[in-house]
Amino acid sequence: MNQIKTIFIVDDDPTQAMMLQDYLSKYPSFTVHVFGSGEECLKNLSLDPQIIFLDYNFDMVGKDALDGIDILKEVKKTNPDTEVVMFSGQDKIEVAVNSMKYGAFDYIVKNESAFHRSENVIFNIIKRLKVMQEAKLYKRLTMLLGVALLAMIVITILLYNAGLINQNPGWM
Amino acid sequence: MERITDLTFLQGFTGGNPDKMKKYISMFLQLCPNSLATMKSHLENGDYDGLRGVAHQLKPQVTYMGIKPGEPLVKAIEHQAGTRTNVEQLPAMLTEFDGICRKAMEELSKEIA
Repeated sequence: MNQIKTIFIVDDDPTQAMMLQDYLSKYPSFTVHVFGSGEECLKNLSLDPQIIFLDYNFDMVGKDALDGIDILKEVKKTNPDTEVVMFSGQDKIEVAVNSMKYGAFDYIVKNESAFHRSENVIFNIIKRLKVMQEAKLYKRLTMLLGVALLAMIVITILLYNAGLINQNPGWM
Repeated sequence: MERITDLTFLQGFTGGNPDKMKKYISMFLQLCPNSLATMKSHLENGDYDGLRGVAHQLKPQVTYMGIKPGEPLVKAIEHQAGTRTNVEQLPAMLTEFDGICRKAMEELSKEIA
């Protein structure tokens, strides 16, 4: 699918991670990597994931384990273009707000609709990437037009000063 | 006896593929007894954060396996342990949840036999 090549699933629940990986396997163009902790995810950021599905809680990894928000902050610091989608078993608004505050693209509650929602989020990220790409293209085109216009003005002035063009064109 | 598991979600998710159904059910059957034992141990040791953590991890699996009577119970255990609210109710809640899960595991084992 357009521009999305590498996806990370970071979850200390192996069943949840495997279910999402299986669900995304219908898109063979994605390379999906699964990690059981945030530390493993951060070690592998050089694989340049475009999307990370990240669990909010890593209680099962250990008491010293980085939590979802710590990992989100680190990802956004080192790979700002990577979109992070937070996953949690909690449907509390403060969890969602906290995730968005630190730059998550979206927040998904782990329930029956989580997998379908993940797919929708991928489509939304692709749409956003397209819009951003188009915006970049328009910006370049506008700059090129500006430069061309400026060049034309400079040339006209030079030609005028050299007497190669008349002040009053013949048809006036 | 009335069934307490409803595999409608899992059937839809796997597209009715029996191998995939078996894979997820087997993972649950492996995870659940350990989780129940850990929850009991955390409760006995007064480790409410630990209890909340295991309940939190088990909660989605309970939903995916369609264990309807277990859903509100595991959610309440997670909440009460996390907020230290009515902790005196937790032993009875955990016993009830344990019973529901064991019944569910029996049904699920038959499903993949």
